[in-house]
Amino acid sequence: MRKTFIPWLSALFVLALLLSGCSGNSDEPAASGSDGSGSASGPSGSASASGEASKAANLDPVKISINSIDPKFSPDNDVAQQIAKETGVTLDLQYVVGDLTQKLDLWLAGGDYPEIVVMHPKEVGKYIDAGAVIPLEDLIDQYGPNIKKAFGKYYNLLKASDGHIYELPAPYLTEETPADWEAPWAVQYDVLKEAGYPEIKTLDQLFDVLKAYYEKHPTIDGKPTIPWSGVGGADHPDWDLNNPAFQAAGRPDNSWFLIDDQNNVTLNILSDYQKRYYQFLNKLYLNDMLDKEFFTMNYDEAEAKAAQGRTLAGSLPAWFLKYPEQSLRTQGKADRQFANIELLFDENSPDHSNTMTPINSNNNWHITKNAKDPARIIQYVNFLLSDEGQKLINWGIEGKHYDVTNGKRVVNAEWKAKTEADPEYIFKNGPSGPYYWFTYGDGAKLSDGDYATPNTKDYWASTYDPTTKELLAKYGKEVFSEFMPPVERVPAWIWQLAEPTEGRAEFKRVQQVFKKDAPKIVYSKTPEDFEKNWNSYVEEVKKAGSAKVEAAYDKLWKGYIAQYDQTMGLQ
Amino acid sequence: MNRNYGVGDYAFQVVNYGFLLLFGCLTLYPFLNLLAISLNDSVDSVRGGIYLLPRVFTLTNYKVIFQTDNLVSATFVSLARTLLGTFLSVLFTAMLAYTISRKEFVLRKALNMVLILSMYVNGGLIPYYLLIKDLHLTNSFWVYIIPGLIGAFNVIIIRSYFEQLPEGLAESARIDGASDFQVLFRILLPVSMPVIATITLFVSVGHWNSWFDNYLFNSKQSLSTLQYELMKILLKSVQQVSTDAARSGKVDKAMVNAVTPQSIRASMTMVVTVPILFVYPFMQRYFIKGITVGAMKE
Repeated sequence: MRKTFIPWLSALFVLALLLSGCSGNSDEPAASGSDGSGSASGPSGSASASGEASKAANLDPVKISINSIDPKFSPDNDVAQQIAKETGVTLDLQYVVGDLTQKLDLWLAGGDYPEIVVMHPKEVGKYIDAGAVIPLEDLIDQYGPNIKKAFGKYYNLLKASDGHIYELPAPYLTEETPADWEAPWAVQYDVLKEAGYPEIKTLDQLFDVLKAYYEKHPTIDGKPTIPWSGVGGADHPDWDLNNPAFQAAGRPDNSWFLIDDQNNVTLNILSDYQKRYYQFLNKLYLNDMLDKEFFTMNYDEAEAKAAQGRTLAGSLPAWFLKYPEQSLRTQGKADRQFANIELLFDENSPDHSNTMTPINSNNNWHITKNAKDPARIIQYVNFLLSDEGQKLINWGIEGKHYDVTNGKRVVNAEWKAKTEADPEYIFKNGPSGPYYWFTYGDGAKLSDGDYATPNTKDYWASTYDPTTKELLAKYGKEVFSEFMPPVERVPAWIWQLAEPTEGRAEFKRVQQVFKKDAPKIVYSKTPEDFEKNWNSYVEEVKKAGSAKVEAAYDKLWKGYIAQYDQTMGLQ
Repeated sequence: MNRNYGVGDYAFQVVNYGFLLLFGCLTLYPFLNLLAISLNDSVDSVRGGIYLLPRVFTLTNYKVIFQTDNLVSATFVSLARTLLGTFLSVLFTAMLAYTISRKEFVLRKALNMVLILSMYVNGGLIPYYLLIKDLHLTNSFWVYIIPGLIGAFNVIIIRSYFEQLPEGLAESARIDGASDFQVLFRILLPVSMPVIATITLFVSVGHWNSWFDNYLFNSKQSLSTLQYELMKILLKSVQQVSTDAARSGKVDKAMVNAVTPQSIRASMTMVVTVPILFVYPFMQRYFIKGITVGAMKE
């Protein structure tokens, strides 16, 4: 008896293991018949049959699988349920937490991608080559009048190089600067207040204001004042050095590059703009006004300095200042928050720094071969792009998330209070989900003449604290976006395009030289010294292969523009 | 042991302990610092200057983590895979180790080679994914357990331990009529506790920390592990400073968070490390002994 006990036990155990393993699997297709992944061929027979039936009714409940790159999205909040009522479609979210590129490769290899794949244009090529995503133009012709309307004259830009449409990007219908955009230069409220709220237009004007304030207040709360700081040079030397240079020149954001009227691409970091910005930093340094850790601190440290109220100004975008300003308000130092204003090298030079692309092509939707009924997906997107759909995905449900007063949509006060108390609330109970991708964009208007999204000037103005309101009133503005120049459309930003393979190694070397030499140039003791250091830096960048980088990107951009002009019928 | 200590010995002791103490503090400090940050108000933490004690005490950071909907089920999945996975893995590893430690086993050399080969060569990610998919293990709890059942390295450690045990131990049991299972479970395993404890520790920590298999194979919410869910919370909180948002200067309205990523990171580190930390004191003595003994041969 005893002798046989253990082998029997373990045999039984293995058997149990196998059984449960198998049953676990056989459960799966049954439980998630609509899920589509992993059983692409299995239930297709019955599914397509029900798909045929649904074309007549169109509101049959159907579950469509989609990957969610945002883990915050909740699968069925009340807006999602409302959309399901209107379209019959419920999205089955598959969260990808981690490297999406890798997951996309695995899905492609296994053929078990969801019915809708959300991915960046850089990833689409392999899916098209494998025939995993389906062309949509016929379906859009048939089921998507709103899709055509939303993209209007830019509709042809949706086409891939083979003439088919595979992606559903987001439209960008606004003609004005969205109310929550802010200029990249930040100045502390108190500095502006002491100077009597002057109109500051150039970096040099700001310098004088800062200098006066710094001489009067060498310390703030017992700690040394930092007249000029950055977002953490150690992590992002280009954010601290390169971006401000083209921004002060009033040029659109093409990251490391400048693009002239003839579409010639050159490296910004070799330009006069870069030199002028270095000269400005050098001036700060020589006057002991540059953060001593400007080149060495990381993001968290830079954040801490701003949150202590010691930083007076800098190239500090609004997204960087979010937590520091929150901290300053709770510390009761609201007057040490930052005003984001527009600055240039020269007061009268044209300012083209505020740009927008024709369509918002980033995490686009693609319908895959695994989709049981692609028409339903197009109908779903078509609904989202209708006025009714826009109200739902941007504002929510009338009476619950927003009210209509005097013919204008206003965010419901009770709802707003709840979202402020619990930031997760909007995801669980409000207009937030993968469908939000198809918003017309902040600042766009619906056919009733009112804004498509709650992100309006009135709304933002209502979120400001009294100190901020007072400051803006002194400048005669309602929101900070009014400091920005009028928004202009550009065909694309160069950093959106797929990185060319040629010149990649050289580009890396160029960036290394840029990072290494920047402190040396900024810390020059005399103008002659500065000239010398700048010249040797230019020399070194050229040696690192800058010509090759410029050539590669020049070719890339010109190729893109040629295609753009052709698609748009400009040539 | 009764020898007299000289001045030199004392000096050595002082320096030695002093150094080790310092080293201990150095490794402990980051942990305590994170603990302090995790217990501090997140907006207050932004301005820095928190070292060993929280400045504005709060439990909000933990609240944010624990209010996630399926954290309970994820904890259960993680616990289940850790307990079951560790038990099964150690059991199977020990059985395989026993088999290839027997000199009379004909395929001993060949099996050894196969095992060792698997330590150096693998099929790559995509073939592995396809294999798991064809085995119908995707979207199943068993993908956490079965593929990692046998670890070649662990087998070799246990085998070496078995081999250095006196030959007579197993032989005498055999003469008394014991079967292979009885020899393994009643004779060899009880005297091999150090190595078993070591492997148990390796495997359980591995199971507890693992999230990659979840990411690769299971997209169903109900099969999420704790680590995967925590990763999700972290991603939620991270201000999406994607270059796109950064460049256009656009602040995403969805980015309004009560708790900063820094605080979430700190409290999450606590949530993840503390439970598995409790395993160490119990395993410690076996752990040290086991690894040295196992390392003696081969």
